[in-house]
Amino acid sequence: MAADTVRNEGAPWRIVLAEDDGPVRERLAGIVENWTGGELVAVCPDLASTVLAIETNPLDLLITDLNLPDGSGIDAIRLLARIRPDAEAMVISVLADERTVLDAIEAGAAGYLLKDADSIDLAEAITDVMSGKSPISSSIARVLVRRLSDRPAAIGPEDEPRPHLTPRETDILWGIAKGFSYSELAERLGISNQTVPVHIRNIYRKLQASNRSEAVYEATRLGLIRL
Amino acid sequence: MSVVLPERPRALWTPGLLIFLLALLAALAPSVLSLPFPEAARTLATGTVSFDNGPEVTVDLPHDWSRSDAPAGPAQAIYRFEFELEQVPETDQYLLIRSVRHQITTRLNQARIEPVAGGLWVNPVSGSTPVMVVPRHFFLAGSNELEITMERFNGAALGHLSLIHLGGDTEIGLVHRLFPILGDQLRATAYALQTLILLGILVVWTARRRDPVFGWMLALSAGSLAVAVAEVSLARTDYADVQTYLYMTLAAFGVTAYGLACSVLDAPRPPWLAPSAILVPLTLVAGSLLGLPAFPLALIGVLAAIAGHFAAALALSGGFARTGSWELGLLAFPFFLITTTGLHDIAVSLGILDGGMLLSGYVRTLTILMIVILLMRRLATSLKQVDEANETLRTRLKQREDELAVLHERERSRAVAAVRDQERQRLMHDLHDGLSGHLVSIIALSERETAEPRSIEKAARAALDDLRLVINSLDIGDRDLPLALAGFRERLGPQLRRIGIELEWSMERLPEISGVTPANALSILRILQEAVTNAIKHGPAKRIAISANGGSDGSAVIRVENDGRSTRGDGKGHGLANMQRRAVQIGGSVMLDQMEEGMRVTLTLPAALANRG
Repeated sequence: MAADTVRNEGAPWRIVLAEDDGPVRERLAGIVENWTGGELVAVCPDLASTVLAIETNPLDLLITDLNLPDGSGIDAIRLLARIRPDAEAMVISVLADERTVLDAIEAGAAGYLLKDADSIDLAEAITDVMSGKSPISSSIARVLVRRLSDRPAAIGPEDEPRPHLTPRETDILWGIAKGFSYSELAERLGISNQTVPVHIRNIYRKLQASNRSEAVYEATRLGLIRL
Repeated sequence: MSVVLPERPRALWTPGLLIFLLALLAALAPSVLSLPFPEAARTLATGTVSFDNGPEVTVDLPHDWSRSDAPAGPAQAIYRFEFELEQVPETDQYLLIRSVRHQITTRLNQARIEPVAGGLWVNPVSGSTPVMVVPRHFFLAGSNELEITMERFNGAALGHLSLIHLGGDTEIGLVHRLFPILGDQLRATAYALQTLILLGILVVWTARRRDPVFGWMLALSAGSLAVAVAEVSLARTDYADVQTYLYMTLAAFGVTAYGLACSVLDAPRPPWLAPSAILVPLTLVAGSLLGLPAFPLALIGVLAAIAGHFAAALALSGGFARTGSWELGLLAFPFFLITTTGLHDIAVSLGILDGGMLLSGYVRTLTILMIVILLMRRLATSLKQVDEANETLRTRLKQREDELAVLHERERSRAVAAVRDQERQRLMHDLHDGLSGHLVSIIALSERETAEPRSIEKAARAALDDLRLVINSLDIGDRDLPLALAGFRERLGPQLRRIGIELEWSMERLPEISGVTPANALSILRILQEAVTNAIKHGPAKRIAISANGGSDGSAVIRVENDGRSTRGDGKGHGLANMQRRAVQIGGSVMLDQMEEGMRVTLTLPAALANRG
């Protein structure tokens, strides 16, 4: 069992793919199969089989559509975050619109993939996510900035629902929201081009954590959870 | 606000008659309701009288003078009564005369007796009820003589003497002993009240000169008080002659009462009315001074007063019948009362009617009282009207606000609908411009049997790209051009990388452009997309550089350069025309240049974008 869950160094990433649309699912599965860096553990057309796949197979990465016929991919991402915290999750989206992506990120996803991605895009996206980097678009950054500044300012450190970003992370987020590219930002901030997506990943993690604590806070307030 | 009163189907004179009868009843009341009879006391009922030292004649009390006894002018009557006492009483005794008109001096066995109360506010001509203390040592065992000297200083009013009662504490009760004192106090209070009311009316009048009601009220109450004080103070003095003139001036009251009635009724007043209030009494007085007989003139004055009050009472009760306004009825009552008591007093004074007291003096106080009620009612009505006006205003304001709120809400939803409609139009336009064209060509391509396998994919990707452009530009606001460009870059980068083209992107020197709307941003992105598509199609480029710079007058210049082959011939085609059209729509221009290596599309944007129609 332990041997199953621990991945050998250099081995391909074990991937579960969940997508309800047949041709798209086959297309993406084909790309993953032809890519040496990845190994398909399961290809699921719905949430039930995805949940089953997550529970039964050791995996490194879940790639899921959010709109599954029997539920939301968000639930699959949450499940993954709970029972396989070392694994990563990505959402597949046609437009990678802000709402979809941010919902997924708050549930625990680390990145997103466009549905029309080709093999190069897919390989790059998976490689980035698995090496601790996350993508962000200017429009997502903008929504995020707006949302963070809309949240009430913290009163005490204990019940602070707003993720506490470092000044560097804040700079990056604001820069992207203003339309700067990674390289422009890196140049401005005097950092390496490659560290920008790492910072993004950190921002996502804080977002997920604060979302979780916010959920817990809300649940406590409503009397659903007794601490 | 005008109040329309409903027509009252009531006979005009019924309420007037009712008030008049009530007044008549009130005038006769004193004859019916009088002091209780002190049964246990000694009553003197028979004696003698001698007029102006003439022969003594036996009289039975009560006794009224007759005109033959004492024609107009000063007159004196001496009454004598004899009574037997077995012994001198053990205590001081009381002497009660139920009613007496004119000044009297009382002596018992030649010793003068003083009344208990001063009778300071009593007009002796109107009649009084004197009570006197007779010290016990004035009495004699055996025969006693009581002498009453009654004096008329002037005028024509006939004297009157009622039954005389004599007794101790038990026989002449507390009621009788207190009666003159209370009467004095009441009269004094009445004068004080009249003075206060006069002041009040004066204040109201000075504040509301335009309202004639207050002017007439002031005249009536001031005159009334003046006459009352004059009557009382002149009656006892050597100036008693003046009292005759006082009766002549009473004519002014008739005029004033009628004036007040007219103004309360809002009826037109004859122009001679106000002057005649002064002229009529002046004429009478002048006539008397010129030698005309005083008595008829005084009678004319009194009758004029009565007639004036009667006319006023009739007018007021008529108004009361018409409008049902109690204000008018309230004022009509004392006016009728003055009419009836006036007639009663004349009759008594002239010996036509027997009776003790003259009543007009008391009724005047009633008039003043009614005036006070009238004033208060007017005040209350005004306040009520102010309240109602306020309430009406508040209601109207509320209605107006509600209407405005409805209008505002309608306007708002109309504006929202307009914006939504505009947005839908734009979206339709945008989708039609790009997406639908691509979809149609996908259909066409897929129907063609010999289609190039990649062509459908290309068209579909173009469709998706365009859809993303549209969505990307949806949320773009003013000065958000860098954001729109960033979104474009984020999609273009991977696309170009996929086909092995390097993208150089430099937007740092892009000046700030205003007037950026979703539609404008979409136009700019489509121009850039077209330029890139052309570069890829006709290139074949290895590198595409997109950079921005500031131009003249704050304009922005965005250049798309590629290192492909010269495509000048092709560049004149559809693509450039399309770009040119879009650029012109937003107030910019597009230029195509051939460079040594490759082509350059230059998009120039004004500092403020024009709005695409």
